[in-house]
Amino acid sequence: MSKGVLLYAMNTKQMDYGKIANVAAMLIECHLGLPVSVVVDKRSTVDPGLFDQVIVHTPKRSQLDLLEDRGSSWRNKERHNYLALTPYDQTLVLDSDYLVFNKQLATLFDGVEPLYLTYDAVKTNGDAVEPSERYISEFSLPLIWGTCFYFRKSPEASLFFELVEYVRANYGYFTQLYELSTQMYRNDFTFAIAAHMYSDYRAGVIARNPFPIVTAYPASYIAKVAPRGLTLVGPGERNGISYHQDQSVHMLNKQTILDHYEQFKHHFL
Amino acid sequence: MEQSMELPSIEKTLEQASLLATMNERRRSAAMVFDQSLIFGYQGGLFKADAMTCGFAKMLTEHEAYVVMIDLNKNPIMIQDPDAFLTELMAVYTEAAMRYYAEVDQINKTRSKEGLTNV
Repeated sequence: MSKGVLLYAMNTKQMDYGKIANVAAMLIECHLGLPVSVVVDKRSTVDPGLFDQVIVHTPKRSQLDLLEDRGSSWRNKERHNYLALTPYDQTLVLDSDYLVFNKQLATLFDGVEPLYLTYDAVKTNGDAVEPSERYISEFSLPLIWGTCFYFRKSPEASLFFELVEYVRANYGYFTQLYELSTQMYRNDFTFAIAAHMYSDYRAGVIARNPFPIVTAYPASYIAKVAPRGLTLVGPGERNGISYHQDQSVHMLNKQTILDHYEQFKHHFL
Repeated sequence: MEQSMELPSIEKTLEQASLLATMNERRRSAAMVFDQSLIFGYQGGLFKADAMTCGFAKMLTEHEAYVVMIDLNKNPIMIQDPDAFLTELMAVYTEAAMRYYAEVDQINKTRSKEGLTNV
């Protein structure tokens, strides 16, 4: 069965996600040794030499989508169709701003489960993430991170992504039903609601990705890129600084990735 | 005769505190990497090569020709060759622990902030 990593790079007016995906591809190639494909739309470009396949996909956009995009620095609503778009039988889907510095995620390909979803995240300073990043609303479902998940082409994955698509298409309704903490579209919320439906509206966990996402909040910046990891600075870090050797990091501050593009190229290209 | 004890300057104390904070931060990060490095895949199951799993597997190999182990997602996995499984468990644990040891040893020996921040 073929294995690979799928990224999405949909540029916005504020952010060059194509370039961020280039960085992600360099790191994945170096640490996971897996082929990387990327889904782009017609206004996003990537370095094709870094990718196994560049899949151009421009979904039809509703007026609601266009309204939501105004002023938003990401376009999560267009991240879907995972099963149809992936060229691999076994796929690890990662956000482009999830910077991989170890081989751990490759372990998921050895698992028996058709889906591994990520329920756990910690801050780069070791603290638990905020409650709003653990639950989709007060007294509600645990959040499932769309940042990193694995699936194998299977009836189970097919069912799950059909539910994801259903929730996505009726997001306004589900925002009310689940009393979501924000009107803004988040894949994490969609995944959590779809997983709830998948479990027949009962509390339950679809197979858990055992590797929590180490999350650097937007106030944290990359101070240094080294072959084995990152040094981060920012008010949220203990004593203003944190060191991440052999540890993957989800950088919510995307601009800092672009600011260090040449350093990433120097070490990983 | 009274002996006078010279107190270190506050600057030196704060510098030392800052160094210790940096060491602790590096150790915390290394511990997290170690914890994640223990997870591995075997015959469809995801297992953690921690002390408890290693000990349990060792005990089972002494009594059974084959065993069922429960993985991290509660999947029962049939282990046809417990000895091979134990060997794999020990290999994963040993590699992760040796790396962790080397990392912490280097942190402890590096008594300068410049050295510690050189990730």
